[in-house]
Amino acid sequence: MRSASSRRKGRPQLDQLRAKIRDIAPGALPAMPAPPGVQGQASGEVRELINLQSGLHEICPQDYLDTPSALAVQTGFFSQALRRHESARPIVWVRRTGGRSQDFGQPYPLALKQWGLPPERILLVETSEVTDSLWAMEEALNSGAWLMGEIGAEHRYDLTASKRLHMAAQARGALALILRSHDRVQPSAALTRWRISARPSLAEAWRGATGLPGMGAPCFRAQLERVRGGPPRNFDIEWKHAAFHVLEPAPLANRPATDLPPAPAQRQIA
Amino acid sequence: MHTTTGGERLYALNAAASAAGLRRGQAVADAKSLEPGLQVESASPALDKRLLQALARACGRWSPWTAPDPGLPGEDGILLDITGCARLFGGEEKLVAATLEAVREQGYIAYAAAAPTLGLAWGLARYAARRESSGLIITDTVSEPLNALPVEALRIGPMADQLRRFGLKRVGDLAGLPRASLARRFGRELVSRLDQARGLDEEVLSPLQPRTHYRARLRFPEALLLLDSIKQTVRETANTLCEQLDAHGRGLRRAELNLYRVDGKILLLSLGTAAPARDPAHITRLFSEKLDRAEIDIGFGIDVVELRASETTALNTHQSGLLDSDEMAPDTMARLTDRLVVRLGDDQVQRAARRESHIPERAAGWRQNSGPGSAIVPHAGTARAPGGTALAVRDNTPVPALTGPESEVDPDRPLLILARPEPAQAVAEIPDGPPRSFIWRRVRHLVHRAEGPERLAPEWWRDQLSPRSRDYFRVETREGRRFWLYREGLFGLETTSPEWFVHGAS
Repeated sequence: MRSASSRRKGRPQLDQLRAKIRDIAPGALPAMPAPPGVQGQASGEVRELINLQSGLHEICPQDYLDTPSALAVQTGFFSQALRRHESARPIVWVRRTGGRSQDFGQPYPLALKQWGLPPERILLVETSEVTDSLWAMEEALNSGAWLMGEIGAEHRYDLTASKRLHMAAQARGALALILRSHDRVQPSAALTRWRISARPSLAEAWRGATGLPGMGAPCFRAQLERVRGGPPRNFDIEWKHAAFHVLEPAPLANRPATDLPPAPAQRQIA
Repeated sequence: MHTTTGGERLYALNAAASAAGLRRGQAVADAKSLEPGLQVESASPALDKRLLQALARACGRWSPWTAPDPGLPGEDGILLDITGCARLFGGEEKLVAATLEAVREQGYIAYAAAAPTLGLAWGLARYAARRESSGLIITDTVSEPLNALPVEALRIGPMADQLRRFGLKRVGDLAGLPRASLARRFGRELVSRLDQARGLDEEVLSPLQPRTHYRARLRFPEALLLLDSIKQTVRETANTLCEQLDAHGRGLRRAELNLYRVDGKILLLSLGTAAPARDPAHITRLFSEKLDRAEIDIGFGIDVVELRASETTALNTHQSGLLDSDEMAPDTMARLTDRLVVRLGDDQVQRAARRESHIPERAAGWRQNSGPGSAIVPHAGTARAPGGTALAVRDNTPVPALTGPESEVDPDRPLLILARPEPAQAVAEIPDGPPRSFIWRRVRHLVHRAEGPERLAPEWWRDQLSPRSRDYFRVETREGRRFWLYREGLFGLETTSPEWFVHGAS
């Protein structure tokens, strides 16, 4: 392929450029992975996506009022990844004072445990300036910690800033999850961007208060808005037993239109 | 007062209490029935000890050789070896008088005596010097004043009672008795104390060791004018300082950087570390950050740079793990914390903490990372001054880190909690039922699912703003958003128009 391409004019420069980029950021130009198909072993693919790879990922709420839900999903994703990596590294949680997510209050240590995050490993950092936020995030990642970040709608968080965070996270094999704003977001270098909205949970008639049904496990609609090397997708997910489960329609609804014998229904969920 | 076997007893008394006929070791209840106006405070021997130590250190201005001498409550002493020091103060009388004056100025009741032997001075200060307001000074003869003292003056503790039972009340009564039989009946200690008081036996004072100062300083004939050269100097002084610390196995917890300006002004920068540190590169980096942000006025230049470790703790080198696990070395984390604190400030870097309370906003929160003993103040408004009751005192103890078996019983709580519950207008079907809809921040939410109530009674042992019960409901709106609301006040019992508050989300 290389010899064929070198013959064309201008190609050597491109190859040199690529080599240079590989020197600066190894792994920045991988062979593109096969895009995760919408059909096929849906649950397998889903597990791969929700268990995020090390690097930078972003969460956006669908609407201003969905911010707490987005933060909940962020916490859930984070704890799931923490468990999968069996990581004992500390967690640095960087917040902005006066940020949008601050409108809904501070994270509550006792609840973090329910969302799977060990509160004793968290270092909560509150900054008033966005430059300080970005600096603290990068310092944390460079030290090898995992990062929960809230940046909101901030124009300083751009391609360059996010690329720096992403590379710092990838170099240490750490996960960085950043909460962004619900309205227009600038492009960034994150591996994935999720847009989260709350969904009504499955009612539980026997737990509710007088006159109303009780609440089931928290449900969310997670739209994989942007993923490197793959098409966007939607998931309905449910937080149950300290893990996210994908709610899927029954296999009958998704079957191919041929007369193939139906595959054994294996519902492995993340 | 202090608590011992048999309940609370008097630990020490002031002059007025002694005059009223109370005595040490009396039960507090008895004392109060004798003297109803008696005021008692709990004793803290550890603090007394520290105070005595500080006082002994302060006495270093009269003699380099000082030591605290803790005794019975209210009878602590300080020993000074003034050999060769009197000349500097114009004689022993003046030295003793000056010492007494300085100590009394601090508000203590003090007596002093100077004598050729330590034992005699001890006894004189406690038993004979009370009559002499400016101190008692014995210069040459030992046996005469010693013989006149009661036997308690020999530093023998409860053995004095035994001696008194035999009719031996004065030290002079012991003088004629054979040493061998004294030692046989009362033990070797009596004889050796007697010899020490008489000056027959050597007694050495073990003085307070002067604190070691870890510091490094560099002087320059030409004043430094550039920030970069100052940083370079800080690096060099940090190297020297860390060598000193390394030799003693100490780590730095708090450091001060003094920059002496040519015109005599001193610029001071200080910082603390999250864990004991001894790495010059780390210390340099922290101070460089400080220097960048402090915007110091160098003026005509800096000619002396001094780096001092004002607080150190023991720091031993530790073994790194053999196996590679996905962990971060503890000192890496400590360094990260230091850098964050230096740039962002102490209050901005926090760790989770909890305390014994069932009121949600008090039960857990975030507290400043550095400063290990600091009590948690989760939200402004709920903080209060230390109170007088036993429970309140316990409330102010340092908050333990979030560990332990409580995790099993943690109640369901929302992920985010508002610092202050915010009022909401809610519509409920029945007065003590869940809300069917509520308006919060001018947005109407329709409640489709709800759980509750979880009733939290106020903590009656604290005085607080709203001593009303709260009924908490977890609700889910039509869109699936989750909120945590409470109704303040029980309908009918505490209020007729309950108010609703939103306290958390998701």
